Amino acid sequence: MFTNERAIGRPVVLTFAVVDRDQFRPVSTRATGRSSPAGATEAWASESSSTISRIPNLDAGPYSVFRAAVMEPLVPKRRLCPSAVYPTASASPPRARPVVVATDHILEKLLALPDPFVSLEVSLERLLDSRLLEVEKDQLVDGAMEAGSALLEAARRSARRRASMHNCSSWPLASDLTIKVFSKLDTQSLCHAAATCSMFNKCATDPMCYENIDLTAEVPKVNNTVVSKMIQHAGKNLQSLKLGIRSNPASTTEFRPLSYSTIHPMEASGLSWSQKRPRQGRETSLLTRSCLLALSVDGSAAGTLLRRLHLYNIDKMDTSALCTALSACQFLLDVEVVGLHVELRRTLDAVGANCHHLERLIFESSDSGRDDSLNSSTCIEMVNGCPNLMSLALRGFKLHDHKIRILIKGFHHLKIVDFSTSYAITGTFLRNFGSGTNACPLEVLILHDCLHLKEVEVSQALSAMLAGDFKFLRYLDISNKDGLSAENDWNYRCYNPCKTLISHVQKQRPEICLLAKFPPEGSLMDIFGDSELSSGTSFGPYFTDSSENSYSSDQGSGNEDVPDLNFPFDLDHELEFV
Amino acid sequence: MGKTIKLISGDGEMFEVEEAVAFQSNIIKSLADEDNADDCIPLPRVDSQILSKVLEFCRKHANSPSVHTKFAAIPSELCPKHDGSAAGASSSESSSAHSETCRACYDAVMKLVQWDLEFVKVDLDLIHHLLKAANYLDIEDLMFMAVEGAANAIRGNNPEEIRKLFDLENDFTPEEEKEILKEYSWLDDPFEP
Repeated sequence: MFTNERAIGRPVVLTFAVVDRDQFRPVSTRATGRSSPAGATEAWASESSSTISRIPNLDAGPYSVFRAAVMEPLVPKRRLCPSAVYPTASASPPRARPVVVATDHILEKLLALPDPFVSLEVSLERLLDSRLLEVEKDQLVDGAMEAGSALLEAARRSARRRASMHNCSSWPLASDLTIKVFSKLDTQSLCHAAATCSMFNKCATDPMCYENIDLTAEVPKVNNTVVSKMIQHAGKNLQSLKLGIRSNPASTTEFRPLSYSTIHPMEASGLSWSQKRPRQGRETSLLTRSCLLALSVDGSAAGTLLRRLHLYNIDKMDTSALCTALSACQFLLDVEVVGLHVELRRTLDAVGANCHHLERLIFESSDSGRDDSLNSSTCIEMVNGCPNLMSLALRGFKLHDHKIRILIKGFHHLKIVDFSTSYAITGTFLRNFGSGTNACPLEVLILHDCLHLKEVEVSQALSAMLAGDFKFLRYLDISNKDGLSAENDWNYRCYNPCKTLISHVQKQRPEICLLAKFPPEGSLMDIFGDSELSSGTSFGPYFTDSSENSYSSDQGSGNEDVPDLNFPFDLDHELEFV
Repeated sequence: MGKTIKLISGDGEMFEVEEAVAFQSNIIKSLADEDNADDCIPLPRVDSQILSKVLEFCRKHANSPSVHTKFAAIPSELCPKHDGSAAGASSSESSSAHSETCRACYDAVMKLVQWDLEFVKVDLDLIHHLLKAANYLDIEDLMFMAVEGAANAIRGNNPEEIRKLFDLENDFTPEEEKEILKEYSWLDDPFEP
C-alpha cells in the first residue's frame, strides 16, 4: 500500500508517463513535488526532461489506483525471442533501480486487484474526467492501451518461458539422444515432432534427422521449396531421397521373393499398373523440373553421398533435369524412376556415366511401350559403367532381345530382372545360356505381361530348366493376361501355353517359384479396348485362384492350341512392331 | 563357466554376470581392463531396476553378432524390417553373402530382432531410462533398440498427440505457429497444432 511505502521512507516515484511507442522513452511527464526525493527526480530528469505529477485525491482508498504507466527506459526496442531471458532489473543502470522496485510493487498491487475489469475501468474513467484538455485525455487512453498490451505481452512471454522450462523437465533426454531418436523417424513424423514445441523443433533441425527424406505423398502438395529446405537441412548427411506421388507409399515396387512366393503376382506389380494410367487431367505435381537442383548446388555437396533416389510421377521432370541430378549423385546405389516423362536411353546413359556403384535400378515408363530409345551402345555402356548392378527392372519400354542379352550377359552380379509389360521382347534372349561358365546367373526373372513373349521361347527355356540350366533361378513369372504369343504372329495367342512343361518344372525344380497365370480358355477378353483398360483392374476376373495355375482343365496338350479368335488388338498404335 | 564381472548399481545392489554379457558395454569393458585388482565395477548412474533390464538384454545378445548396427550386412531382399533402408556400401560383404545363403543364420537373426522389438514394447519411462543407460554404458545394440522404441512412440502421432504423450506444452509464439503451419502445410494429413 502506498501509505506504508511512504512511511518507510523509500523514494516512491510516481510517474505518469506517456510513451512513444517506437522509442520506448517517456515523452512527457510531470514531476511530483511531494514525495520524490531530489535524487529520483534528477534520475528521471537526466533521462529526459521529465517531471512527475501526482494525481490529487486518488491517493488512498480501498481501491488502489494504477496511476503509473512506467516504461523502463532500458526496455529494448527489438522484440525479444521467447526463449531469451527477459532483461531483469540488473540490466538497468543502478540509478534506475528504485524505479524497477516501484514497478514490482505496482504490478503486485495491480495483480492483487480483486476485480480488475471493473475497477480499472472505473479508475480510468475517473482519471479521464480529471483531465481537462482533450489531448491529455487522448494521451491517457493511449497510455492505458500501451500499458495494457505491455502487460499482456509480458505475461504471454512468461507463460511461454514457463512452458519451455516445463518441457525441459518433462522430456528426459538430452538433445543428442533426442536427435538420435528423431533420426529414426520418417519425414512426416519428424515434421509432426518439430511442430510440437521449441525444444523438439530445435532438435529436428539437426542434419542427422534428414538422412532419409521421404516426401512421397498420395496427393501432390510438396513443392520445390520444401524439398530444397530439407536437402539443405541434411547437408552431407543425405542418404536417401524419395519424391513424388504414390498411391500407396507403403507398398514398394521392389521384389521380395520370399514374401511374395505365395501371393498373387498382381500385388507385386499392382502399383505399377495404376501408375501407368495417364495422369492428364489429374492434379499434377507441384514439383517442377528444378526440384532436384538442391542436390547439385555447392559442388554437389548434398548429392555426393546420396545413396538412394526414388522418384515417382513427377510430371514436370524432364530428361535433362534428371540427368543433371544423376550426374551430381555419383554414389547412388539404388535408383527408382517411375512414371516420369524421361527418355530411357539418355537416362541410362547418364546412369552409366555417373553411377558406378549402382546396385539396383527400377525404371518404369510413363508411356507404355512408346519409348524404344534403348540401343545397344547404351546397353554396353551401362554394363561397363555399373558393374555392380544386382537388380534391374525396365518396365513398359520397347526392348529388343539382343539388347537384353547384352545386359544379362554383361552384368556379372545381376540376380534380379524384371521386364514386365515390355514390348518387342520375345524371349530369344533366354537361349543358349548353358550350364558352365556361361550359365545364366539370374535368380529372379519376371516377364509379366510381355505382349510379344513367344510361347515357343518360353518352352525352350523351360526345357533348359529341366535339363539343369538356370540353376540359380528361384522365381519365374511368365504370367500374361493376353496369354503368350504364337510363333509367327503375335496376334495369335496361346492361352494355355507349355502346360506340361510347366508342371514338369514345378515337380523337378521345386525350388523355383513359377508363376504362369493365363486367362481361362474361352472367356471373352475385352481388355484391349484402350490402354486405360489394360490397367490392373482388368486382372480381377482372371486370377481368382491364387494358389494354382489357373488353366482350364478341359484343354488338350495346350501347346499347339491357337485360338481362332482374332482379338482386336487396339492397344493404341504402339504395336506397329512386327 | 567364464570369468565373471561384478557390477554395483547406483542404489547399491550387486550383479554378477559373465564377461561375455558384461562386455557388451564398451564402458564396462574398458573399466574392467584397467581395474585388474578390483573386479567390482560401480555404476552410480544406473539403478538396479534398469540395470537388471539392461543385463537381460545383454544376456540375450551375448553370443550373437551385432545384428543392428551391422544391419547393412543383411541384404534388403531378405530383411522384412528394413526395406533396404540400411543397405549401405557394405552390402556386398561376405557376411551378407553368408546370411543370404544360410537360412539358419537368417532365422536366428530374425528371431533376435523379434525378441528385441518385444523388449522395447514397454512404457515410455522405461524406454527413456534404457536409452540413457545404453548411452552411459555404451551398448550399441541396446542403444539402437531403445532409440527405435522411443521413435515408435512418436511415430504416427500428430503434434497434439505427441504433446499429450510426453506431457509437453506448446511454447511457440503466434508468429512461430503461423510459420510452422505454413511450413508443414504439405503433409498428407495437415494438423492444427
